[in-house]
Formats: sequence, structure tokens, C-alpha cells
Amino acid sequence: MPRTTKLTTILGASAAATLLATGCGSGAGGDASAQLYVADGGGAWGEAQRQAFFEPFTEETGIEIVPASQESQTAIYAAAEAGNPGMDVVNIAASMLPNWENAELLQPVSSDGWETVDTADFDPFPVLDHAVPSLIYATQIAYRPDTTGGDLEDWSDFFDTAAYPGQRSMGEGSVLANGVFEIALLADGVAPDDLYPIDYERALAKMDDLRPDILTFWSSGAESAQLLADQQVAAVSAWNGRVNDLAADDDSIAYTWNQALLHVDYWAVPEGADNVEAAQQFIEFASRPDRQAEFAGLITYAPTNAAAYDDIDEDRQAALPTAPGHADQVVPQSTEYWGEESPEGGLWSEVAIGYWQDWISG
Amino acid sequence: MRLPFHGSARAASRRRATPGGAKRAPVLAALLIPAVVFAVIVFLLPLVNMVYGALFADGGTSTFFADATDPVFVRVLLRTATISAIVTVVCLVLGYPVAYIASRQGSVVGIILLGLVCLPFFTSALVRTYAWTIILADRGPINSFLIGIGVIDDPIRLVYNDIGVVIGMSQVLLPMMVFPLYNTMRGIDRSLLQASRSLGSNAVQSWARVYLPLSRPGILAGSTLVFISAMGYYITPMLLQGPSSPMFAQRMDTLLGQPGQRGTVATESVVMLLITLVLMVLFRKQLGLTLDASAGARRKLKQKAVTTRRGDMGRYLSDGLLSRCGTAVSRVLEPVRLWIAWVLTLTAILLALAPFIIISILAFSQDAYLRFPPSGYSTQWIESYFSSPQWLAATELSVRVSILAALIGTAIGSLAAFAIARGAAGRWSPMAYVFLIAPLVVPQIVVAVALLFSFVEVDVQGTETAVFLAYVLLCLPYAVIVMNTAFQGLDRVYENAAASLGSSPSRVAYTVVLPLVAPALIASVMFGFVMGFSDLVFAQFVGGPGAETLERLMFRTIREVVSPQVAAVGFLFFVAILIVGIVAVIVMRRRQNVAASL
Repeated sequence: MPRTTKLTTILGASAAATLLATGCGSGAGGDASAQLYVADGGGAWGEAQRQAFFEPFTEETGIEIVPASQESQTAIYAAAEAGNPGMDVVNIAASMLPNWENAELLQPVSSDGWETVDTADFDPFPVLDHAVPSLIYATQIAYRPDTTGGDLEDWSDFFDTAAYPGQRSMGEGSVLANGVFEIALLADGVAPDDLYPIDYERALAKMDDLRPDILTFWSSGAESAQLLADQQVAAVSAWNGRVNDLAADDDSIAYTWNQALLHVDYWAVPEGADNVEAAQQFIEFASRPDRQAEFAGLITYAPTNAAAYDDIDEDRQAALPTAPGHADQVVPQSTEYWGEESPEGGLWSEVAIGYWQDWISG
Repeated sequence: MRLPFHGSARAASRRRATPGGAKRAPVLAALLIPAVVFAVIVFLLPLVNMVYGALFADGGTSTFFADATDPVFVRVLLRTATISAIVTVVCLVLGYPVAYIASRQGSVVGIILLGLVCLPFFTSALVRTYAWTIILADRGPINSFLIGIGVIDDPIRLVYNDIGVVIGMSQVLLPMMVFPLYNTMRGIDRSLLQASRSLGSNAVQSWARVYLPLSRPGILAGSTLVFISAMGYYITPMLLQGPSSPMFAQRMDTLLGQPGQRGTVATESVVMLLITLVLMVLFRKQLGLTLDASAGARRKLKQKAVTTRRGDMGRYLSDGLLSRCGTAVSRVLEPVRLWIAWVLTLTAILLALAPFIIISILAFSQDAYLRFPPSGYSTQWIESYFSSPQWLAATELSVRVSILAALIGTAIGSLAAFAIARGAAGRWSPMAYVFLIAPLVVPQIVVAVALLFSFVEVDVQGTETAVFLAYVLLCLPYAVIVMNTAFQGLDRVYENAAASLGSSPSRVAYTVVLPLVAPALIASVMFGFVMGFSDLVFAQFVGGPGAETLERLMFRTIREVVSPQVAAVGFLFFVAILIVGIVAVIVMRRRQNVAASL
């Protein structure tokens, strides 16, 4: 970065001087290698990660893990681009993975040297050069039958506020894993196999119809759950782990697996990470069948290492997004499309975010 | 979070008259160095770095203009400006009567009124916003009440739309309107009103024709401050808005989380910076950013205002129709004028306090999730705070960093303020003053983005150090304003007496000056502490997982789990800040000149 050399030098030297002068020098600079900063999903997901991955890892290796909430990491990508991500292990949605890969922000994963995990067991999402599938989850419809006056069976019901009255909420569209475009197209009658390449005009035209009935676009998992629990909305698109928790506590909430969007997230080590070796070690650890089985027992997110199913009882398997009963109902979100170049230049993921920002600000 | 400033940087020349002043000037001027060097490194350089990056990096100026005129950005900017303008008007309408009544009443009632309305200023914007989502909900207390008394049948939508955003932002920003208005109004000679009434105007006429024009500087200062701050607002619109366009800060947040957007973020922040600069230059006098805002100049302005009004009065009398209309309106308003003022004032107080009432109730909820009103009461969420290592660690970090930053900020700010108050650096003194309080007027989000870019490059991003440096910057302008006012109010007779009796300058400083300004020093430290402690923007943009402040943890918790935990934490710190605030008011009451600067 030639543009910053001079300023950086001055800034760095002066900052250091200020610090010495004020005697406040704690921070990540020197002693960071003792700790491993790992992406933390937060809420019930974060709690499951702690029990299944973080604590046992520390017990086995003695390496302390700092759970780093990625959801509230304002600047994670900008910091990574500047070569200083402040994280050792990140969690990246499949839709955004190509951006990280293209910008060469990820280090290769050392899966060749794995001793406790067989990469061949990963199914249906294989281990990649720079990323390892971390969990499988779904975005599904959760609703209040009392308010809607009937069961919502698919996204077109979700969009049909005349037949199923009540406010709606969906995940913020600039997070592609929230699947706004796919959901709108499914609601408009597009067959799951024909979703890609996405017809943005059509998807957003469908969104125009629903907009008056959308209370707000939720920006966090907790918000999606709160809106439905508080009866502020009659139906919401939400992550299946959240929905499962909600419905367990509250009989008046129902949900469907039909047309649920299936997603996969990945573990990866960003360039500039302070603690690469431990990061690689952690990813292997979190890929072990027994760890993934324990995780799936704590929250209804499915393992990426299929060998884990041997350790999950049948009842629990039936509650996961990958259960045989759900498999023919769910619609997998593409893992390839978002990383393809669009004819207008840039990846489709970037084009999609541009469309969204234009629409939401209009 | 910022305060208006009416401390004045006096012209140096008049000050130099004191014996020994000229001789000691170079030594005194050196006192400016720590604060100025700090502000150059942690404020000016990062901004320059960002501007430089936006203009000359990557695509260079052509990209800059393309990004700056991107229709989506322009729409976001327009929406941000519109909402900010509405918020400014709401704050003015509610804040004016508050300041009016507060400045009119005896000092105790006045201070209580001000305290009630300004309380929010010292507490977490996040916690208050979170409370609004509950208060304004379809099934929240307001709608339930209105339905209960039969005014409406169906709930009115008050949140997840622009109404909610405006209510939430107005509540947070109201104090920034009230402070400068109150300040101006205290300086208005009320005998002018009596004079006008003795000439035949009724109370409303005299108010409209005499008082209102005289309070114009306060109106402009308050409005500019509120508008500029609103333009950079972050958390409130994010949590309260409906399916509509994001506001500026929210867009920055979103873009920073996306690939290849650093250039766009830099460009858009520079545009926002430019808008702020234009407003700062236009309203420099009202904002106290002038190089010579001495008392004399202010007096002259006041006289000018009176003379101008006299001319207007003549015109008014010559215009019979207008006169009759005005009189008719005045007659209608006359009997209810105080009633209106009090209703607006009570609305303002209710607006200020409502979130705390809700938070205090929720903090003692027995429910596992958010429900209002709670199904029963318990202290479980208070207890779980005290038994959670995570919450305690975040509290410890917040307290430590904020106190340290407040101490350092006050120390370097006081030194600089002393040099400025003594005109030590000649004509550079007022310029140093303007420079040191400038961080108050630039929207915090812009500073945060600039710091983020620079901190990332020097590898302090996401550390306690980064948060500490940002908090010193947050504290410094307040320290300079409060201490400058205190030093200006200091009678130099004592210093001169001590010096003439043979005390060395350092001894004079230690035994005479320091005790005299101690209350102001304490006020400045408390202020700086509270500013840092209740900050979310810097914590969010330059902090990180390794430097999780209490506000940051609260924000994360709100996004991750649905429980009354944040209400309980908010309640505890509301009580703590209230105690700090009461202590601060008592301390400041001891020195009227300091109180006047607030």
C-alpha cells in the first residue's frame, strides 16, 4: 500500500510515542499468540460452539479461545483487506466465500495433514482449499397460525398477506445468506431448479408487493425471534435453530420445512491472522465427527462431516435440516452462482448487493 | 455525544497586559503541545489519511466523483438529511420551552428541569433505543394505554417506521438543543420584555418580537449541533426503522462488512466531512468556533439585535393588517402561553424519562425473554450480571479505559486550556482552541471510520489501545471547554499576589491555581469518563473481540439473545451514572462559572 507509507510511518511512530507516554500499552500487538480469536455465532449457536468446540479444544491443547462475535464485527472485511483481521478463525457464508477467495484474503487450510478427520467424509459439501464447511442450516418460515388464520406452506403463502393476514419480517437483503432474492422468486412461482441465475428485476418486483406488509428487515437472529415472540409480526423468515428454540417454548408458533433455503457456512483462516498454527489445529478439531455430533445435539444445525451422523440419535437426526424427511422439501442455496463473474463485471454476489442497496434506499 | 461550547477564546493581546505574562508566554505556550500533538495524531492525521485515500488511492479522483454521486448514496444522504432536519425541528419545539422555563425559574427548579431533560445525554443510547422498541410496539404501553382509554381501536404504528426513528433520535439529541438555548437565554435581559409590554404588547407579542430574536444565537447553535450529530447517527435508526433506506452511519457499517468497499466508505465519509465543514464554517459564530468570541463581541451583537428589532417594530406598526392578525393570534395564545410551554416541557421530560422507566421495570423481570409488562418480578437478571465473568470483564475494561482516558484527556486538555486562557501563544491561542474542540463538531461516525483505517494500518485496530486513544479524543474537547471557562473565570489577583510574595510559577500553579479550578477538573474527568463509558460508535468501529467494552457487549447481546439481561445492566449503570451526575452537579454548583459553561 504505497499511498499510506509516509502517513503510516508518522502515525505509527507518534501513536507508539503516545502510548509509551501514557503507559497504556495492552492489546493484541505482542502477546496475541497466546489466544485464538475464533468466530462466535452468538446466542444458542455460540453456546453450542462453546460446549462442543471451544472448551474441549482448550482442554485438549491448552490454547485459550476468545470467542469473537462476527455478527457485531463492524469492520471484519475492511480490517482483513488491510491485512489485520483481528481474527484467527472466521466463519463465512458460502455466498460470500468467493469474495474472500478472490481477494486472496484466506490462507490455505492444511487439511492434507489432518490425522483425526477424513476429508472424504465431508458430504454433500466438500473441504475446499481455503475453507472447511462448518455447519449446515436453513432459513425457514415460522409463523403464528392464530394470526395468519391458516398454515403457511410455502413462500407464496408467506407473500400472500390477503389470504394469511399479518405483518412479515425477513432477514436484511445485503446478507445474501438471508436469501431474499431466492425467497422472492420461489414466492413468485419459480421452480427451485430455475432459481439461478437470479432474475433480480423479477425478485425485487415481487418484493415491492410485499414491502407494505414488511414491518422491518431483521438484522440479527435475536431480532427475528423477538418479532415473532412479541406478536409484532405474524410470519418471519428465520434460521431453523432460532425457530426450533422458539417453537419449543411457545405452542402458538408453527413452522415449515417446505422450501426452506439450505445454507452452508465455512471455517477459514484469514490472511494476517496472528495465530495460524492454532487456527489450523482448531479447524481440524471442529471437524471431528464426535465434536460435530455434540454440536448438532445442542442446536439443530447439521454436521458437515457425515461421519458425525453415527453419533447422533435418530430423533435428533430427524430435527436437522438434512434429515431425510426434509431433504426433498428444502431448496439448497447455490454455492457456485455467487462466485461466478457477472457479465456486468464483478461477482454475482456484488451485483446482488448492489441491486439490494438500490432497492432498499428507493 | 457532544456538548455545545460557549467558553470563549479571548483575544490574546488584551491578556498580555499582565506583568510577567509576556515573559512567560513561550513557557506557557509549551503547555499546548501535548493536546495539540495528540489531536494531530489521533484526529487530524487519520482524517487527512482518509481524505488522501479517498482522493488519490486506487481509482483516484474519477472514482471519487463516481462514488460521491452514486444515486444510492445520494438517496441515503437525502434521507439522512431529511430525518435529521425533522429531528432538529422536534428538538427545537420541545427544547425551547424547556430552556425558557429553566432559565426563568429559580436556579433549583431550573437545574432540576435541565437535569431531567439532559439525563439521557449521560447514559447509553443503546439501552434507550432498546427501550423504545418496547415502549412504541403495537402491544407496548403507549398503544395499550390508548386502546384502554378508548381513543383508538387498533394500535398505531409507532416503531419500525420514521416516527420511531424520529422519537428515538430526538430523545437522544434533545440535550444538545437545550444546552445552548439555555445558555443564550440566561444572557437575555428580561427587562426588555417588560419594556415591550409596557409599550402595549401582550406577553406573546413581546415574546415573538423581542425574546425570540434575542434567542436566535442559541437556536442556531442548538439546531446546527443537533443536525450535524443526527447526520452521523448510528444505532438508533438501525434498531427502530422499518423496511426503508438506511441512514448514513448504518450504510458505513454495512459497507465495511462487505468486500472491496473501503474506497467507497472513505469517499462517502469524506463527503459527509465536507458537509460538516461547510456547516461549521457557516455557523462558526453560533457554535463558538470563532477566533474572537469575546464577551465584548457578544454584547455588541446583542445591542445590534435590539436595534434591528426596533426597526422591525416600526415596520410592524406601519403594517396595520399584519398588526391586527398578529394581535388576534396573540390574544388567542396569550391566556394559554404558559400552559403550552409547560405541556411541551412535560412532553420533553416524559420523552427523556420514558426509556428509563421501562428499563427499570424490565430489569426486574422474572421472564426468560422480553415481555412487557413482565409476568412477575425477580432479581435474577441483576444477579446474573454480577455472576457473569463476561459482563464483569467488560465492565472492568470499560471503567478502566474510560477513567484513564478521562484523566489523560483532562490533563492535556487543562494544560492547553490554561495556555489558551492566558493567551500564551498569541494569535495561535484561539486557533488552538478551535482545533481542539473541532472533534466535537465532526460527526463521530466520520472520525470513527478515519480512525479505523489508520488504526488498521498501524496494527492497533481492535485493541484496548485503540479504544483508549479514541476515548481520549472524545474527552479532550470537553476538557478544553470546561477548563478554559474555569481559567477565564479565575481572578488573577491571587496568582499575582502569590507570585509577588516570591512563589515560583510552578508553586503558584500547584498551591493557588489548582485548588481554585479543582471543581472544574473533577467535572471534566467525570464528563470524559461518562462520555467514554456510554460510547458505542468508537467501541464498535475501533474496538474488537479483544477489547469488548460494556456497550459493545450490550449491543452484541441485543443482537444475539432475547432476554431482559441488557435491561438489567442498563438499569445498574443508569443508577451509577445518576449518582455520578448528581455528584457532578453538586461539585459544579460550587462554581457558577463552570456550570455556566455547560
